[in-house]
Amino acid sequence: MSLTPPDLGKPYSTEADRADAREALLLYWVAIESLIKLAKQPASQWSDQQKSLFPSPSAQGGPPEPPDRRLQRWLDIYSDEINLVRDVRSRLVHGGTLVTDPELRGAVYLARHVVSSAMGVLPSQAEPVWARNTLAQAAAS
Amino acid sequence: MTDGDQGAAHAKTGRMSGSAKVRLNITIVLVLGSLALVWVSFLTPYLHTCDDQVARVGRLALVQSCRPLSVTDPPVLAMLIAAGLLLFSLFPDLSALEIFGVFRLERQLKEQAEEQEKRHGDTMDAIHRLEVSQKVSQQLQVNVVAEKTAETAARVGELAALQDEKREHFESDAS
Repeated sequence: MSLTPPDLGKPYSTEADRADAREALLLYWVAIESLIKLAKQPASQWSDQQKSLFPSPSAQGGPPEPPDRRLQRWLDIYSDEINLVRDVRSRLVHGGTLVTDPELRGAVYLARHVVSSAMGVLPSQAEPVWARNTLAQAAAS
Repeated sequence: MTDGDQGAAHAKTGRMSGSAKVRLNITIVLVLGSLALVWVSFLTPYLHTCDDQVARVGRLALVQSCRPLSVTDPPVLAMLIAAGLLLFSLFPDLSALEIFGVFRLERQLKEQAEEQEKRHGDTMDAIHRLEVSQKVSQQLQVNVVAEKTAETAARVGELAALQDEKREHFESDAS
């Protein structure tokens, strides 16, 4: 079901690989920010498009879980991951301290999992560009 | 405080001690005196300086040749040098006094040189201390960064290992 955790200690073999990972992290972060923004928005203000982004699983015979509640749970459960991705992304963008390859590799891995969990898809399906486009547009609508 | 120092201090403040005034007066007298000597020597037959010279005519082997005094002659020069020395004592900031082509008096500014040397030493010490402190600070910063990145990498590893479990927990809570 999930992606195998990468060997976090392994450095990127080329600069291009690292640049791709950097780009992926930035895209995931846009998606995560959109999710956070949506989670803070009252459910009454959610558009149908926004609601349709999230699955509504339910217990057998029970009512489906509202998407806003799902997103709130997501925010609680994945707060550590979100904070860590935010930290690494900030350092990458603002260039304060060097981001090591293991940090970057791990942050991308976590970001992919965090986004895929929120949207109820497999991590392998949560490609960075797809996640960014889907969520950024939905959050803006 | 010596007289010289007092003179210097007063010279700086624009006031002069009695001793400084006397020295200034002597200086003026010496300068004017040397000028007067040269003047009188030029305009009158007195105060001439004479040298023996080999005669080209006549029976005598040597004849006396006299001429007016100039500033390079010992009496005038001595007076000017004395005036220069007095000026030095009156104005400690003077480092040299020169009448071009005649004489030049230079003061060895030992104190100033020592002070400058001391200042240079102090500056070098301060630079050295600054460099050391910068190196220590940089090293500390490097250590902090290394600790932080190692900490983050370790935390990433921990969280990565928990993802399957978290996902399961997240999905199961929904139902």
